[in-house]
Amino acid sequence: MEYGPSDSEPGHDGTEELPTAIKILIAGGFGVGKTTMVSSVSEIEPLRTEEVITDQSLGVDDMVGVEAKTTTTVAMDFGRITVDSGLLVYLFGTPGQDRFWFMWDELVYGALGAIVLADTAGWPTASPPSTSSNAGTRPSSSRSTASTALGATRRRTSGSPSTSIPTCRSCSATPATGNPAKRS
Amino acid sequence: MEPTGGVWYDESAGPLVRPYAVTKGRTRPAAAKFDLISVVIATQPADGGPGLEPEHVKILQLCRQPLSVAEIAAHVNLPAGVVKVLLDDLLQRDAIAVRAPMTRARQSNKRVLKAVINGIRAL
Repeated sequence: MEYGPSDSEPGHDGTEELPTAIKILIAGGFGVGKTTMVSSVSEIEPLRTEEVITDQSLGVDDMVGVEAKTTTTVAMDFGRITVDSGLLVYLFGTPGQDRFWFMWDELVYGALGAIVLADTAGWPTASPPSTSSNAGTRPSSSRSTASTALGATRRRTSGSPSTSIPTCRSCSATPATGNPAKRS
Repeated sequence: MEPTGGVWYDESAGPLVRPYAVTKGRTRPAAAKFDLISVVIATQPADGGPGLEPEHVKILQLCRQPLSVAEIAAHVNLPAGVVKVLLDDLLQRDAIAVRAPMTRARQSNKRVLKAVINGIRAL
């Protein structure tokens, strides 16, 4: 579709032609393959944007020893799927380190759903961790993404069928047999 | 100290100009609130103009096609927070149009949900 700047009236008239964007998060611990999944399903070259953390991160980021450092950057990988001319789906790989959890506030807001990736090879027991402690409790030694499971959507959407998580063919993910998280 | 003639900084040293220097120190948009996936399109040609920085012009050039804030940030290689301030400048000049992402209230639309599911399955 052509969106020539000269066709649009100044102001907000052009918004009628603009596609609507929705957001799906790809969450999971450090190194489970979020970036891999984004790059597998995205129609564009996966992009990376950075957000500068300023004093917002105080108390979240451990600044001991680096007190002089007042800013740091967090990278987010994201991809895009164009459903049709009026609907864009953006996939955001959230930062896996738990010290970047404050970013969830903006990332989660308005998200249609989330896909939680977990590395089953690293689990010491059969019971998977809940989403709320996923990033923090996962052993950092397990980097293998060979047996990555696709978790459930974090945000319940009314009217959405329970089988709404599509199987990702191009990455080595398989749907989880059970809901890994015991959250309400 | 003697200059070696070579490049004395590298990627890992970070940007030479601090990010918010581009916005003259502003860290928040003055008026509008931009989401990472707000879709932006230019409504004016990117021929510059008084008061426009090169970054503004670059954004206008990128936004000939609809682009999300996150995509713009990635293409201009600036943090999303900086890009939001620059976009607010452009919006106040009526140089861009912005569409906010679908809110939760509108998510109950089953047709949209089905379109998303079918679209992803068709990949």
